[in-house]
Amino acid sequence: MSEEREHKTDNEDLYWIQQSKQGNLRAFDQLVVKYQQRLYHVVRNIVLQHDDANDILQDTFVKAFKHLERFDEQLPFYPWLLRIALNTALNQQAKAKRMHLRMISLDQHPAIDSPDPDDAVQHLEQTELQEKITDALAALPVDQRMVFVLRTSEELSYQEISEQLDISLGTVMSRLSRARAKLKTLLKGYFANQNSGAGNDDL
Amino acid sequence: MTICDDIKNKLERYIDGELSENERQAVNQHLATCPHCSREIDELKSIQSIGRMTLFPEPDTAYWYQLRENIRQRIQHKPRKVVQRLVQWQKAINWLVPSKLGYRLIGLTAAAVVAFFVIQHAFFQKGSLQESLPRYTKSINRPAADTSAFELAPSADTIEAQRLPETVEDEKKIVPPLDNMKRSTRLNNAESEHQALMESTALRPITHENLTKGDIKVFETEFSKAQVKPTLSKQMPPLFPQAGPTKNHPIEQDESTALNAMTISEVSSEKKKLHSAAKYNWFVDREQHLETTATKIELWKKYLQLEQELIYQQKAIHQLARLYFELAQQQRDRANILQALNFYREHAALLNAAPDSTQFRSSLIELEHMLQKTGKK
Repeated sequence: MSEEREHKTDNEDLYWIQQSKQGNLRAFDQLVVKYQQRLYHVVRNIVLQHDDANDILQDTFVKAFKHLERFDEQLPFYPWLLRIALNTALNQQAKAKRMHLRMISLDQHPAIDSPDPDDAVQHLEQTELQEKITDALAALPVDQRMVFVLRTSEELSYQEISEQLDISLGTVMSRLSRARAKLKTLLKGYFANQNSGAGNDDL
Repeated sequence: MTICDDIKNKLERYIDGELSENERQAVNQHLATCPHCSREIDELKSIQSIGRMTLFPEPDTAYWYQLRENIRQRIQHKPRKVVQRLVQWQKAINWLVPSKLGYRLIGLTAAAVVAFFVIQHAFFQKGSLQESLPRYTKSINRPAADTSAFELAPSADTIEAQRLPETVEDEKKIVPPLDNMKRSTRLNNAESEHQALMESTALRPITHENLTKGDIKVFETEFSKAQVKPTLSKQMPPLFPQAGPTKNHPIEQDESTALNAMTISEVSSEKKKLHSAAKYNWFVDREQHLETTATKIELWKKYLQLEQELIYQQKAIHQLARLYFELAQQQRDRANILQALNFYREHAALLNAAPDSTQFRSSLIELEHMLQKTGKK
C-alpha cells in the first residue's frame, strides 16, 4: 500500500531551499505552491475546520521560512514541513481547548456540540456519509486523530509516526488502537448498514 | 479461542503492514478458516478506508492565491512583531504599575534618561569629553598613512611611539568642529573639507531658511554614497533617443548589457534599493530626480519581461503607468508625454480594471492636456 518514500531532498527542492535561504521570497513561494495542497489535506483532516487549517498552514510556512537555516539538506523537505505543521496543530488545538473550556465555565453550559456557525455551511457541502465520518473523527482526542490520519491518510509507518511526533512506538500503537475502537463504535450503524447488504451480519 | 485472541491482537498491525513475514502468513492462514476474525478484519479495513476518503471539498484556486499572498506578506512585514512586542511590554508595565502615578514616574524616568544621553552626546560632539580622554585614544584615530612619520622610532616601542608626537593631523582632531569649519578653507584635501562640513551640519537643525550651499554639497555626496544612482544607470544609454512615438518597446532598441544580464531577483533588489533611496529624495536636484525615474522605468520594464506570474505582471504594469506619468510631469517633453500616452492606450483594459483606475483615468486626461499644450508651442 504505502508508496515508496523519498529519502533525500530532490534537486528541485534543494535549489528552491538554497535560494530561499538567501532571502529569495519567490523561491520560497515555489515551495509553498508545491506543498500547500498536500499539507492542507493532512492538516484539515486533523483539525477538521477550514479556518483552523488555514491558520496552521500559514504559520507553518512562515515558521519554515524563518527556521530554514536549521533544515538539514540531506533529508527530504516534506517530512520536515509536516513536523512543523503537526506541532503547530497540536499547540493550536490545545489553545482552542483552553478557550472552549473557559467559554463553557463562563456560560455554565454542559457542552456545546457545534459552537461554530460555519458548521452548518460545512455540512451542506458534505454528503451524509462524509458528515457522519467527520463527526466521528471530531469525537476523537486530537492526538489520537493525528496518529490515525498519519497512518491511514499519509500512510506513514509506526516508526515514521513516532519520529514525527516524538513519541514511542508503544504510544503510537495504543493511540491508533484506541482511535480505531472508538471509530468502530461510533460508525457501527453505518458499517452495519453496509454489511447488511452482504447478509452476513449476525451480531 | 486463545488462538483467536492472539490473532486479534495482531490484526491491526497486520493491516498496517507492520508484521513480520512469518506472522503475516500465520494470520493469513487463520483468517481463511475463522469467520469471526475475518469479520473483524473487514471492519478494520472499512475504518482504514476513512483515511483515503475525501471528507472535505477542495478549496478553490482563489484560496491558494490568497494563502500564498498572506504568507508572503507575513514573511515580508516583520515590523508587526515589533508592535506585538511593544504591546507585550505595555502589558507588563500595566501589570507592574497599574496607577496613573506609575505611568508618570515611568515617563519622567524615560525623559530623564533621554535628556542625559542628549546632553552627553552634545558635549561629546563639542570635544569637551574628547579632551578628557586619555591621549592614546586620539592617536588611534589617526589615518594609517601618517604612520610613516613614526617609522624612525624604535619598532619595539610602537605603542609608546604612537603616544609621542603631536603632529598637525593630531591637532586637527582635537579642535572642536566649529573651528574646524574655518580651518577647512586652508585644507586642500577635499575629504577633510567634507568631514568638516559634515560635522558642522550635524550640530544645527537644518531648515529651508538656513540651508547653505555647503549643506547641499554634503547631502549630495552622502546621497551618492547611499547609492541613489544605481551603478547601472551610468552604463545605460540615454532614454528614448528618437523623439516621437514608437509602437515597439524601447527596451528592445536600447538594451544595455548590464540590464540584460540581470536575473529577476537582481532586478527586484535594484528596485528596492532605488525605492528606499527615493524616500530621502526631497533634496535631490531635478536632473537626478529625472534620472532616478528613468532608471526605475527601465528596471520595472525588465522586471515585467522576466516576471511570469500574471498577478505580478499586472502590478508591474500599474507601477509603470505611474512612473511614465511621473516622468512626463517632470519633463514636459513631447516624447515623454507620447511615451506615457502610448503606454496607457496599450494597457487601457488592464488599467481600467485596476483598483485605483480613477487615478489612472485622471492621469490620462492630464497627459492629453499636456500634449495639447506642447502642441501649441
